[in-house]
Amino acid sequence: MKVERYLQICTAAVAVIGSLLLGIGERAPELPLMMLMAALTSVIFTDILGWLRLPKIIANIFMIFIAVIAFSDFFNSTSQLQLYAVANLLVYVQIVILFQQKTARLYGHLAVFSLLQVVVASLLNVGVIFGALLFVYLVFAFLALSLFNVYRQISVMEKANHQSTLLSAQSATTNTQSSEWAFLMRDRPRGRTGIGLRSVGDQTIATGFFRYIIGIGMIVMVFTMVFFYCIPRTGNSAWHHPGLSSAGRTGMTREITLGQVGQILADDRLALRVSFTDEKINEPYEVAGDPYLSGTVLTRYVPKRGSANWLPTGLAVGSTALTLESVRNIPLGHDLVRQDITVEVVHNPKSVFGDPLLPAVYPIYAARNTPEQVRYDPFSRQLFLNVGPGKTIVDQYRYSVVTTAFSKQNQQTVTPVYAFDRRSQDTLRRKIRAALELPAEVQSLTEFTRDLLIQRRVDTSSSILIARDLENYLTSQELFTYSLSQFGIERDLTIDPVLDFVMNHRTGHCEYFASALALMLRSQGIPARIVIGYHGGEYNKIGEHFKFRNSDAHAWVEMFIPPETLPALDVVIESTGLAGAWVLLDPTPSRDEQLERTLYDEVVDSFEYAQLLWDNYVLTMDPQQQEEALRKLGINNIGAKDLGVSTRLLKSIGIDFDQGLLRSLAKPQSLLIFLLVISLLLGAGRWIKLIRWGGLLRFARPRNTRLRTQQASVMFYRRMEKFFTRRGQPRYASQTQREYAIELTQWLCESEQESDIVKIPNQVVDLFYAVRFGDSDVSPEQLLVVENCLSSLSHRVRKNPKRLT
Amino acid sequence: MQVKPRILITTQGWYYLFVVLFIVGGAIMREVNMLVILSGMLFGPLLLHWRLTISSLENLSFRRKFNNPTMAGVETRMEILLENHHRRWGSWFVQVHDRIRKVNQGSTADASEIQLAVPFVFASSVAKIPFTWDIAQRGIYEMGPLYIESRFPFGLVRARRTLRERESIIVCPQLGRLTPQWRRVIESDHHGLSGSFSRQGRSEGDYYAMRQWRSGDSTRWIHWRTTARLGELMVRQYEQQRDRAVGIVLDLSELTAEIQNADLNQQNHHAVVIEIAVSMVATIVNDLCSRNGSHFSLTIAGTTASHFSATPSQNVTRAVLESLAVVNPGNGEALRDSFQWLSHEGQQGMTVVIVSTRSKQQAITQLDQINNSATNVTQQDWSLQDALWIDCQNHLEVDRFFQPYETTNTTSAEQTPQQNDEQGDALKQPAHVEAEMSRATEEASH
Repeated sequence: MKVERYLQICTAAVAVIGSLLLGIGERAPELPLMMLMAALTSVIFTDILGWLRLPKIIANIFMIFIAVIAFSDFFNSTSQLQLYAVANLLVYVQIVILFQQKTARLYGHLAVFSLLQVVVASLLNVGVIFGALLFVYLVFAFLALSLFNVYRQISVMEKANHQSTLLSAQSATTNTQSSEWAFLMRDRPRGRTGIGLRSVGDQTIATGFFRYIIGIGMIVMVFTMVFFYCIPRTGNSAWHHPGLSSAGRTGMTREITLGQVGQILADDRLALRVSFTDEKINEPYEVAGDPYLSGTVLTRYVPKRGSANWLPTGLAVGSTALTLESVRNIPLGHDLVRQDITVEVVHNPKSVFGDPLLPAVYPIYAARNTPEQVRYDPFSRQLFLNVGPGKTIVDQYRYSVVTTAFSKQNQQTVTPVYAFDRRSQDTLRRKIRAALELPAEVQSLTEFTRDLLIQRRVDTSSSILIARDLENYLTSQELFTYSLSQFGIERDLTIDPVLDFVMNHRTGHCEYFASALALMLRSQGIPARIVIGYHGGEYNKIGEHFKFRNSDAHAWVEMFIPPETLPALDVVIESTGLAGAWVLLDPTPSRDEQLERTLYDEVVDSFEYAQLLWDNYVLTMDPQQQEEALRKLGINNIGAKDLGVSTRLLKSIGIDFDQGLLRSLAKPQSLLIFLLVISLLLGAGRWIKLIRWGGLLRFARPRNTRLRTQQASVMFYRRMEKFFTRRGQPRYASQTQREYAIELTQWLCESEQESDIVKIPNQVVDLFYAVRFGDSDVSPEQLLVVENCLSSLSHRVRKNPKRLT
Repeated sequence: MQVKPRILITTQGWYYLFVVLFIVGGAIMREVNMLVILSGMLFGPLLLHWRLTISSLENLSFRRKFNNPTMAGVETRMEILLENHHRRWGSWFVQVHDRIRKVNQGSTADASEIQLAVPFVFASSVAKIPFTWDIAQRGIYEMGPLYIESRFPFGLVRARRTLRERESIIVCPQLGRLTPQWRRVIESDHHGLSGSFSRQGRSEGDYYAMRQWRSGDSTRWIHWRTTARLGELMVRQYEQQRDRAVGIVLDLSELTAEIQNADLNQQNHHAVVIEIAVSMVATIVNDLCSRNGSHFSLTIAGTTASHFSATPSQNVTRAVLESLAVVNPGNGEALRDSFQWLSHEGQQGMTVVIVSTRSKQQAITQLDQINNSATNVTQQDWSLQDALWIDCQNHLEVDRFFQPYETTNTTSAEQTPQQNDEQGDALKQPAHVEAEMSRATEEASH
């Protein structure tokens, strides 16, 4: 039977795809390979040829053996490995089942195990390829399920027909004297199908069956998407996909790790919005160029084996978070600009105090409306949101600070440092000392940098010139290449990654460039540190604000120059208490000037983008993103305000999701709402039909006895018509009911019926006319009389069939 | 009256639902996004399946199509007609379940079932599902309830519509074959019967065959064209029309009470005897009616006496067969009424044949007990002594005049379901029976 053959193949395919999903999640390619071999072998040798079929007892022994091994792995492993143990158990069990002769029960087992495989795989997988394979799995699973249904029904029907035939044969009594007539005594008829059930099954799958199932798969995918985006979330996901972390994606981080192999994904999620306003005139302040928003400062360089970290300066002894000070003096020529920043707090890395970092253009001062929760640590130079104990971090946070960094719409690259007292001077000295530290692993940079400077004929007496030249050196695209990917780069893992970058491969992203510059400056005795923040962004003309995405996160360098060097910068700075300045240097080549992209880059970027979308809109879907996604679909009314309304509405009937999802769902009100929604959905079709066909009007009509009897009498006429039609006297379309009754009367007369029988057609038609056209009422007694007439007609005809010829 | 589909979740559906709820519950409570996707992928098909099965059956109307009456021992062909009223969507893999059971004097026997399927019913079209009932015993059979069912595509949900109205079918007795001995009984006084017939006119009668010329044939009968083609003299063969008056009495009596209680085999044997008798009379009537021109009188002494007196025609055949289909044996006393009727209604010089389930002596003895003068019933038309008494208990006596018609159906008990299923139209049936049935059906439809 073709159905069975297709079922065997589809079942094997489902098992293989399930194992593939599992193998991708476990990063174990041997699992799907093993399953593929087993599937191919079982289909050919077990199902088609029938050469290799495990007896039940052998299969059970194998299962026990597998279960023992799996359980021992399970109890000796950590949580993730326990999942692997379960997954492996499912694979091996399926392999054993595949080599058995398939029955309906075994097909069912295979389906269940395959489903469990996918459940486990969905907990382990993070890749977009999983989503694509899941759709393929879905189609094959539907095919297998549908074929199984057809196969099973045919088997059941064949068995039932055979059983009926057996019973019929058994009912025949034998008589030795007249054995050829014994079949006459078989009182149970025997049925025989005109078309074999197996051929019916084969025809079923030949009539566009596969297209139909694929169509169902597509509809289910659409439903799944709607289901996924509509299901309520509280944001308290208890599962974190292994391997899913912010590492490997662009975005502001609390520290830098160098030397990782892999691809960094450009994350286009919104990080923050900032609008600049002239604080004096309270008008939008136009900023020329792309501003630099600082997040955190990294001073400590910690090399490791094959990698290295940039870490922020630790907390100073006795350091406490301070409120921002108001600006005292605005430097000459500078503007006081207010920054109104809305930041996605959830995604922000944490400060040294453990609170979310708040980026801004430095130097910063308190504005009139700077919230109290905004705190500043001058030692680590971090602005952060002081959440406080026991409080929930909100998704977005809006704050305002002012800065004096802008002069004539341009952000100044020099940030002066003032030290008015001994404490601040000591702090500055510590910072400078930290910014001069050069680990032993990168000492070779000193000589390299010196030689470089000599080669380039740089005046080494000026730190400014050194810095500028080194900056130019690193930004030179003939020498260095900007790339987020480390694939295909020959790395020397025995040396420091910054050294490797500078001396060998010269390919990297902003962190490498900034690290290189900072360390090279330090090697020449110039204090330097790395700053992580945002740079670039898009300017929204309508909203008059800059929009920064995670992909706009950037790393650059600040170097310290003593006050005596400042005049070389040709800047006007207040000299009272001036202790020096931090100068912004950005050695990263401009991304707009990248080398030409190949088709491979396009494909890789497309795949990365698909992976990013998968991560953003599926794996890490949270309530905020859900709301944003629905808003993008045009469901604009779902906003915080409306959510708040609906939340208040729910709270008014006692459902409060803040108390916990499960607790809320366990309430009777929730159940009632759920049932109401379900019944509305289920009855939607019926409601539509009723409304469409005016059914509601029918409901609105008074239900009365008169209506019922009218309908009943018409039904009597229909019954009579049907009765005579079966006896070879149908009413033709051109005949009226009266003509029909006359014809029936004549026919009954010819059939020698009693006179009371002969009168029935006319009686019924009289009643029919009276009700249908005469709009008269029919009494229940009349109905009863007609009913009796029809019964007697039916009874008499059956009793004496010979009369009616 | 057809009812709307009833929806039920199948056993597999319950298992599936359990798994789905488990996954959905886990996904919602733990907010694992991948599990949410998976639960959507599992929940969606269930909802879709529910709707698909409803819409698959909602727009279908179904009914049986069959010939009524039919004949025992031959395939009763039926069709289930499924009409899809939907303009665009077809219906996949619709299963049909039908039942048939014998109705006998108000009681019903065990039903036989058959399950059928159709792969696809196209939109706005009618699908026909042919099948056959092999009904061995005559009688009235009740069919139904007929229901259609769909579990397509996944078998998780089942929709069913039932046609609760029962339909009856009359199964006429099985026809056999009359031997040449019978022909001689009807057409001559070979058995010393006082038969009478008269020729109709001087015509040779109706042409019905061609044969070789033999001495004594008229030269006018020579068919020259055939002669030239074959190279030997060929003559037309005619059937002489003779009016034959035949009186048939079917005497069906039950076993005596003692025998009934004593021996099951005897009971079974007697049941077979009754069927033989009925079948023989049916065959005789059918044969007589196929030969136009003879008048016959039939009286059936069963539970009660019923009588026919008619010029043979297809309608008469049908009426008689339908009557024979439902006749049951009586206590034997109705034979007296039958004789009396035959005496009044029978034609002069008719040939009387009595087909009985008992011997002549047994019958006479019983009639004597009832009415002393019964055995001496004589009429100008016939007498009991001259009548041909066929005791169906005597196998040899039956075989002289009547042979059951063999069917080639294999014993289905030894066949596998596949063989049973694939046999399809392999059964042969008597050509003349099929012709009779189709003629009878056409007459009935007109």
